[in-house]
Amino acid sequence: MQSSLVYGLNALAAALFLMTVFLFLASRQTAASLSLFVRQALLLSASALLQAYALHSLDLLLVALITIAAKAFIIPWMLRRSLGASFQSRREVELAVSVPTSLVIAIGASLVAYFVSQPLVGPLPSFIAVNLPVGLAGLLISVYALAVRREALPQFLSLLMLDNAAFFAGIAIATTSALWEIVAALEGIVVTIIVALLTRTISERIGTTHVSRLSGLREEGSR
Amino acid sequence: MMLVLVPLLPIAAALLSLLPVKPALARIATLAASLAALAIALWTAQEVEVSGNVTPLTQWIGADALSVLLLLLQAVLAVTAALYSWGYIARETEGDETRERRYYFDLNLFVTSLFLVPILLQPALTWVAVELTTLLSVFLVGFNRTAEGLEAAWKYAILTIMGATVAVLGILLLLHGLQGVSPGAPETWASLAGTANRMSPDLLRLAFVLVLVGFGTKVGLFPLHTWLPDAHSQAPSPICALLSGVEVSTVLYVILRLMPVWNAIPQFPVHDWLIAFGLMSVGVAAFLLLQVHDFKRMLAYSTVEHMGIIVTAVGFGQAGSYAGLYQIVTHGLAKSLAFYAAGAVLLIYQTRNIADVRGLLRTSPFAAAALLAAALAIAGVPPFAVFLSEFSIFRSGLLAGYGWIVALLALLIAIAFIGVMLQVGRMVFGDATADQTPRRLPASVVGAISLSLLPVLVLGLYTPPLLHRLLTLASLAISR
Repeated sequence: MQSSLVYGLNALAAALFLMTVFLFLASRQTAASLSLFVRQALLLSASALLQAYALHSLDLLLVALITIAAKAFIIPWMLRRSLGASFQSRREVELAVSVPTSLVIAIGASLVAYFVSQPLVGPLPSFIAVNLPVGLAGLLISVYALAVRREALPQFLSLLMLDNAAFFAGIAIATTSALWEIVAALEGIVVTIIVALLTRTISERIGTTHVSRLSGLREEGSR
Repeated sequence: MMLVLVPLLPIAAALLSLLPVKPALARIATLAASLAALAIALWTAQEVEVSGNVTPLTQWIGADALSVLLLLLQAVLAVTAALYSWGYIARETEGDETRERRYYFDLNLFVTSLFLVPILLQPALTWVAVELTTLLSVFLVGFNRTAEGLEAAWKYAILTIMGATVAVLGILLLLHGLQGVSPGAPETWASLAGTANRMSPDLLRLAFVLVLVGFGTKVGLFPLHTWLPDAHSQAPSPICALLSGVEVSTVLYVILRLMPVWNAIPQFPVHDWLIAFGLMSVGVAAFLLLQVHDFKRMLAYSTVEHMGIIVTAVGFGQAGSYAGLYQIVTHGLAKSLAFYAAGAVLLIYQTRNIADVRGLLRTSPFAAAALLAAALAIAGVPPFAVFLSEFSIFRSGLLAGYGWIVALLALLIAIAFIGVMLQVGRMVFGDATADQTPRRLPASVVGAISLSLLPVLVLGLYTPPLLHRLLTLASLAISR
């Protein structure tokens, strides 16, 4: 495969990756959000595979395979198993800001990410030139998505999207730190287990995972 | 190789805690492991004082003055928390042995993650350890399984994991910069510090913002401090002591460890950023301390204030770094004492509401004296240790030419002092509530409080040569 074709395919994966972030922001159903997370993880793995091929890196190949296993299969399976009822619900997730406004903010965040990344990437085609701005945009938009979601599970899915975004930039930035990336991928599974257990405990004990109804604790100034 | 044992000791204690026998085994194992870790930390500190650093596993595990300073603090607090937990958790769990063993299992794993942060030599692995400090303490925050406790655990998990994920991109950028200027170099803290001046300033700037915002969230810096008063007030008191006394400082260590890298950014006001974030945190905490209704939340806000003071001090430059590091030590000791005293009050009154605690001096003179001493200590009154560190911070700020900043900082600290003393004064003095029957405190609670009070007093009057030497070496290391 020619290198220009590899870069082109990586750019396509990055464009689709960014699209999943926008779709996630617009999505109001938990099951659809989880499905978007899985697709995003597959695109992340695709980018890692392309880089593994171009750089002849066994480490990145391993990262891609672990990402597919952890994020496309194990994490969604664990979430469905422990919080199945929440995913079957067709109720719409409550958002603090309307979807059109959020999309405009996301476009702004993407532009910021692009301009912040530009000085760091050279003029020649490279993986970092694509993955860094897209990853940074994903990071900013996911933080925003986390802030505007008012239920525990959608908030957690935003956190997983945030993790994907950091990884998307990370695989292009730290190509020599595969050990860390493997550890971090496994750590993602631990995060999921712990947060899923916590969500289930909250649901069992309090009867809701609606974060705005968990308001026993408020900062003194807002009481 | 002794240093390698430090994180292994609490793991062994955690495994012993799982055995389905009387919880006494878990209590003894936890205390023994923390005492052994303290002994190794002291031995390592002496080695570092002589040779500058200890590296049992090259590129993986080692310690210099900065890391051993934090390790010592962690070990001291691990010992007092283990001792305090002995009687406190037995009473909290009301004879539920499985729950008590589970507590010790979680506590030991949490302590393991804390110990790992300062001794790992690779930034990427340190990040994993920082993330583990959150993951392994989430269930300790929600240990009481109340609605408020679970809410606090949720906020703690989501916000701090979010912060760590943002920070990781900053760390990866630094590693990218390292490989760009020195291909094949080991990805250690030392390599980063040694090559930062050859890295792209744009890359360093972006990494700085990501690391400061990301880890700053877990340190409790304004404006992402909101999870801290919840988590640090809802957990059982010995866990609050560890969270507020040393966990926040453990994350701050990562920001400080990167100071030589940040100092290499040309024409970028790193110190002004630190002073701005620090002052805002102190200001917000000071005013919230005047309004607080829950005495454990009051102590948590004081932690936000102290973190702000430390970050401001580091912004003052090298002399400020010495004083800021001293404040990390004095804050850790004083804040753990304060949470132990607050736990004693909670055992007696079964409420965290300040308005419901009156006449503590009559109900329990010991708890009253402990709370009052702790309040004076965290508020920075002489002869307690925090006074000395805060005074050193003012002095270093003035010497560095930050007169107005020092004046503002002193004003905000004075407001925080008024807030703390007003609240504690209401609790300690006056008539006892009529329906309050005195309850005897467990001996381990009394012992841990007495033990914690000792260094808070001693360090206010005298700085041991070993501590002074470590502080000097550590401040030089972060001011390069």
